[in-house]
Formats: sequence, structure tokens, C-alpha cells
Amino acid sequence: MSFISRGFHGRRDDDVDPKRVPPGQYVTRDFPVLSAGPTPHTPLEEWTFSIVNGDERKTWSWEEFRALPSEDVTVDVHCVTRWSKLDTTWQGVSVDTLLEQVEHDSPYVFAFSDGGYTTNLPVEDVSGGKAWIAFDFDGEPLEPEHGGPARLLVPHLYFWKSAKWVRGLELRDEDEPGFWETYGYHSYGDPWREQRYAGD
Amino acid sequence: MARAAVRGRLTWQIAKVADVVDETARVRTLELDLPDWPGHAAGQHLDVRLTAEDGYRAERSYSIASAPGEPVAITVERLDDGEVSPYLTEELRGGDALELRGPVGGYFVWDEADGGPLLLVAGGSGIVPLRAMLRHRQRSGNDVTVRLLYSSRSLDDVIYRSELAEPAAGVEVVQTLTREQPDGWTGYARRVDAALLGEVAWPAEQEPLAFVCGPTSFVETVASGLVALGYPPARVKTERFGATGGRCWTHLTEMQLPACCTTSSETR
Amino acid sequence: MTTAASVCGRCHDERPVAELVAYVRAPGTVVRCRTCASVLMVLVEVRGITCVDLNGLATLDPART
Repeated sequence: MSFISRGFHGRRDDDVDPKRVPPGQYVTRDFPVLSAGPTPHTPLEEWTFSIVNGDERKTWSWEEFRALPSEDVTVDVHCVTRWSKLDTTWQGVSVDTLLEQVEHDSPYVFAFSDGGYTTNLPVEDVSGGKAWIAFDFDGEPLEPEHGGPARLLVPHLYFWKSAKWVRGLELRDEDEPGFWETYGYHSYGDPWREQRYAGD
Repeated sequence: MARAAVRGRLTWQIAKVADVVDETARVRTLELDLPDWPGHAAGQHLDVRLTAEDGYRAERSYSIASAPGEPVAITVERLDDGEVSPYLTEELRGGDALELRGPVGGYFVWDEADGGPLLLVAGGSGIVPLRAMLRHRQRSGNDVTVRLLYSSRSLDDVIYRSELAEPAAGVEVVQTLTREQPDGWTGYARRVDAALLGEVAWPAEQEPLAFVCGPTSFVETVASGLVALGYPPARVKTERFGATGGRCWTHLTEMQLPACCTTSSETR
Repeated sequence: MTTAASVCGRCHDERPVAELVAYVRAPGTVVRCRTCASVLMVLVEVRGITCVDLNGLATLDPART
């Protein structure tokens, strides 16, 4: 591309270690809101989180979920629309804590959210301390437009895998594509190998 | 519409900024020189694309402020947390190049054949496409009766103030200043609500055509207010500015449907 | 396109495409019914090709505006 807008820089952070920025990404200080639908507003009294394994289902209410051990994490996040946000701080329950409540040997999970959003991941990528169900962002309760009351947080993959308004994980033997994956986004989504689209 | 004209609308072209006009402290009009402009209708918008040296891009849509036949102009409000609007309202200068494409939009358009009486309702920078409609009406010598209801925070925030202070014959301008009014102000002094609409809008029996433009919540309030007054929903055309300050229909208007998607039921 | 008449596949609400709710700031564009919020259209651009899924619509008639 040859045309450059004189004097335009965009709202980006230039003072950044390039080794922290995956290929094709730009660092922003904003936190853009990208949604495929209206923001759900499930009252906490009705909110539940479930791990589903065939007929077996382990469910936590909001109180039960918040009583679980949680941790503070600082991670970089990378959206497929090319923005990256570094050193984001969250508080959440490790997915390991939830998965160990259910006996399973499935290779995949299918995350499902309020509003119908879904995304698929290998179990390995949401265990071993790599994923959380996050309920606080930047020291405050996670806002609805950013996925509150709780969202999946899987920072080592493109951020569309970090399903907002998550309500559970279904253990699966097959890797069935979720919402964006069905439309051609990569099934795995590693930002360091720039796996944005199927076939990348 | 001719295929060539359709292709032209979807291609990015480089315009030159011919002039900049500060309308208010936060709002600027950019008058543009375009070599290959196919023409536009009143109410349409265009897409602007900015590219930084490292290839980073940002894209936004802006309503065309000028009438068909006039040089293309857009009016941009600077959003404090904006990414594109501060560039367009503070950095860009006469002689600079600006990448854009258009015109875009087939729904929020007034053509003289559409008739009236017209009710135009604007919230803040929602005045832009409606001003294009007013200028088109005047240039074409059309005499449809128009009432413009324009909501602004204060007199200093009124865009095209001198132009609207002397409207053409047959055009009535009703203003409301929601935050601050000057001494001796005789206009409305509150946000547009059902009662205000009831006093200003044409009665539904006159079969008016309404165009409402502004922030999403403003448009929702006004549109439902007009429907409650008896306006058929099909006679209330709306254009909402989202949180980005731009509009959301770009992708849809560019969609070329494959032939197999032209389903139809009975002909009317 | 925005003036084409759409009918929602779930609640059968009919309105011009321009009145549907579009979510454009996402990995793709999702267009939903204004009444029942079900997904009517999804547009995703992958390597220069736009994939259009219109499965949520009962009908889409560009000829009827």
C-alpha cells in the first residue's frame, strides 16, 4: 500500500518491546469493545457456570463460583482485528480448578455464552494454568460490555477465544468449530503463528 | 444503477482537502476536491480511511454535508477519545490528501420526488445529512414544507448556525438548547421528549416524511415518539451514530448479493 | 442493499435491512433482528473474499423496497 495519511499515528503505544507484539498487531491503550450481539444482562441470582461432560453436569452458582480460589493475573491480549493490549490485569478462577471437579478424558472443550456465542479450544489450552474464568478487570468488576459478570480468558490465543459472558464449557471428543470458526476463522488461533483464518 | 457507477462507489480514491471551515469549537467542515466523484444524493455518507506510516489503518464514516451538485464536503465533530476525529479536525490541513470512498447509503436519502411535508430531527452532529437535504431542496427549487427540530447542548454547539438562522422560504427551524441557554432565549430548553415532539411534529394526518439523525439513544427516543404520534414506521427514517461517532451500515451497503439470493414472494 | 426487505426467520418481523441491528466492530459483521435479536446475517471477510451467511433470514428481497 502506498498511500500514507500525513501526520496520522492512530491511538497506539509506540514505547513497547517489539518482542511482546505478535506479527501484524498494534499495541493500544484502549480496550475496544467488539461484539457480535447485544450485551446480555443476566442477574447474578440467575447466573451459573457449568462444566458439561455428556450427561454429567457440574454447576456453580455465582456465590459458589466466587467462593472458589482465584488469582490475580497480568497478561497481554491480542485481538484478531489487530489490536493488542499489554499488561492487562484480571482476577479469575483458574479453569483447572473447575475442570478438576469433573472426571473426563476429552480432548476438546466447547465454550458457550449468554447470547449464543460459542468457541472451541483444546482442553490442553485451557488447563495447566493457561486459562481463567475472569470476573475482575483492572481492579474492578468486569463490565457487561467487556464480558461481565465473567468471561473466559485464554491470553495465549487470539482474543475471540476468550468468550465473553461465558456460562460453561462442554467437554467434547470432536473439535467442532464455534461461531467465528464456522465462518472461516482459525480453529486454534495462535497469534504468534498469525493463525487468523482457517488454513493459516 | 449502472455497474460502473456501483464499482466506482466501492473503490478507494484520494481526495485533496480544498478548504477547512471551523463550524464550532469542536466541529470542522472539510471541503474536498475529488477527481472521480460519481455524484451523491442528499443524506448519503462516505467512508474515510487513514493509514499511518507503518500500515496501521483506521476507518470511519461521515455524512456528506453538501447537496448533490455542490463540491463534496464532510462535517466532523471531534470526540475527546476519538482516534480519527482529532486527526480530521486538528491535524489535517488544506492541500493534504484524504483517502475515501462513496457515496454510501440508499435508505437515509431524501429526493425531491419523495415530497413532504418533511420533518427533520437532529441531535448534535446529526444535523449534517439533514443540512445536505435542506441545501438540496433549495438548489432544486423545491417548495416542500419543512420543519427542522435541532437539539444542541448550547448555542455555541449549533453547527451551521448562521445558515440555519436564515432558513429558506418554507423551512421552519425549531431549536432546543439542552444544557445552556443565552439570556432572552425563547426556544426550547430541554432534551427532546414526547411532549416537545407533540408540539413540533407535523400531525400524522398530513402524511409527513420524517428523517431523524443523531446519537443512538436520541434517535430511539424520537423515532418511538413519532410512531406514538401516529407516524407509520416506514415514514420515519433513522440514522444512528454509534459510539464511534460514525455509522454502522458500511458493510451492508457494499454487499453484492449473489443472484440466487434474490428471493421474492408475490409481486406487489 | 439497505433498502431490501428482510423477514426474520424466527419471529417473522419484516423491515428494510437498514433497520436491522448491525454489529460491525468484531471479527465479522453480525446483523440481528431488531425485535428478537436472532442472527439474520453474518459477513466475514477472509483473505479478500467475503463470506455471507443469510441463513437467519426467511426472505431477503432487494426488489421490494
